[in-house]
Amino acid sequence: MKKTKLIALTMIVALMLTGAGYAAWTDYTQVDASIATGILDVDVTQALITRKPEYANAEISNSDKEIEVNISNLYPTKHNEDIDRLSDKSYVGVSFTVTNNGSIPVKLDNVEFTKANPTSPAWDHLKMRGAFFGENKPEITLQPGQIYTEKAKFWINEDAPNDIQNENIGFTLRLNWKQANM
Amino acid sequence: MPDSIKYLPEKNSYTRSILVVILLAVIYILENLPNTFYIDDVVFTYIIKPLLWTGVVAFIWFMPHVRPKARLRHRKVIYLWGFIFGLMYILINIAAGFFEGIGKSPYSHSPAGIITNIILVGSSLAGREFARSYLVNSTTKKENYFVFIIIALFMCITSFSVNKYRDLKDFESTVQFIAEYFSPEFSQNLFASYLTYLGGPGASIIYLGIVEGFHWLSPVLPNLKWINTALIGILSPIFFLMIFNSVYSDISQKKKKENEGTAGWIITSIVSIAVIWFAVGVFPIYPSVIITGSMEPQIKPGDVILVEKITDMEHINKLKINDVIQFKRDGILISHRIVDIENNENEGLLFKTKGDNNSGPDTDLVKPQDIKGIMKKIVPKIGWVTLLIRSNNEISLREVLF
Repeated sequence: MKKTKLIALTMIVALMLTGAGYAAWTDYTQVDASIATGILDVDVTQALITRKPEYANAEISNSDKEIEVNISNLYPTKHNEDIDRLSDKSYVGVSFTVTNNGSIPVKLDNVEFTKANPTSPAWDHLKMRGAFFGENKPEITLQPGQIYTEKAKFWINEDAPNDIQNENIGFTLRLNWKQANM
Repeated sequence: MPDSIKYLPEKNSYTRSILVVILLAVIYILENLPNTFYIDDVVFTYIIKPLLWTGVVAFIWFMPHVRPKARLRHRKVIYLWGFIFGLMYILINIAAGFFEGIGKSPYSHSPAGIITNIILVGSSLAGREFARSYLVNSTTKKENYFVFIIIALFMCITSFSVNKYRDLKDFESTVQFIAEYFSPEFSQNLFASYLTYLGGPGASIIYLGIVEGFHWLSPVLPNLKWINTALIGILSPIFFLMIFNSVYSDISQKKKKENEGTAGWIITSIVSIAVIWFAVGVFPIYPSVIITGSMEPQIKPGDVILVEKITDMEHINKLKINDVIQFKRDGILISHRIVDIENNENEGLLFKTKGDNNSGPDTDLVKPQDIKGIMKKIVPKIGWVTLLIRSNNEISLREVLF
């Protein structure tokens, strides 16, 4: 029992010191991305290109947590702000579905949008429409087992120069979820 | 009833074991019924499930008890080892986090959230461990790894939602699921089965209680690549199993009676760790001793302020004029009141601060990244010991106490 107690004491002191180290360390680090666990687990279960112009290339793929989109050869198109309609079908439409595969209700924490080629001039002219691509984070709560589908549209603004169509636009979308407040 | 009949193997214990398995299966099915069912999800998850699990504990409690393998007098040492392995598990995870990075915990850490989670996880833990112990100890009296494995497999399978299994569409995601989630969970369940075999439900509740406690209450968790999660998750419990196997054979051979008040010991150590952690600032609220008189008369030297950590922009945006914030400047911590907030186009939010007792505001503006937290409460006078230690001049008791 004495040896056991000694081991226990060592563990306790180690844990106290670790706490001190942790407190000092987190002063300097920024922590953003939420973790997925077995109990809190929202998976991207489907990601599709729903429409694209014949001449354009669009690809979408997904892992459990991320959606990757690549678009190229898209021409500029006119968008009527008053009636929120595009003058022709020169846009790429995507749809993706997430499922709460965990056992507790969750809520969207933040959206990570990463450009694959941030220096490309196409980003100045790309327009995006969809809940996860706007300024404000949407308020979404998912119950265990609940499935949620979201659509988005991407098009090139009519002011864009002609050579924009040679640019490749790629990005990754990651949705981070947290436990919904009681 | 003649003694000989009392000790015959009872068919009833098989029936009861099957009943326990059915109970667990029913709860699993209820958890996984499609959403169209009329029970509100929040009510089901946070109220009905805990009640169901408490029911499982009650049901098993009122059945004839099954003894675990170890003698009663060894029980306390076993509990202590459960405690030690729990701490080891936390340390291993923290170390992994240091090496590979940490992520924000997705669980709710509001006071209501923490209490609800403790009820949710605590009831489920108690129910499952009582069930596990009953199944293990009524099925086998000898160290039978086949039994441990089957029971561990059952408990492991029922810890993931049916949707998760259904959504495994290809080989790659199946392999990742097995490596990242299933195998570590199975490994943990195997070790827990061994713990209950020797020490009953108490042993595994202590071990898993600490593991789950850390998982749900820590504001950050290690953010590892799935292969590393797999490695640590699978190896740690196996490692503990092997250690405990050899430890137990030492323990069971000792003849002396051990009566050391283990429960009190465990509680004391948890409390000491908590106190130290609170003092160094692990928790979201931490203490800070005020040394100068720049915030008099509200805050005097020797007072201790309780500061709530500010960790993201959401909190920064909520700061208002008259809040007292603690920030770092030139390596020291300063606690002053916000007198003005500027929204600079280039630099974002900037805060102008002033000590209540100072004649003018602080010369430099405070940037969000320098802010450590916002003051929540003042505890008068208890920091005077720190003052004495820190100061070169003598601060007389009278100055602090007047």
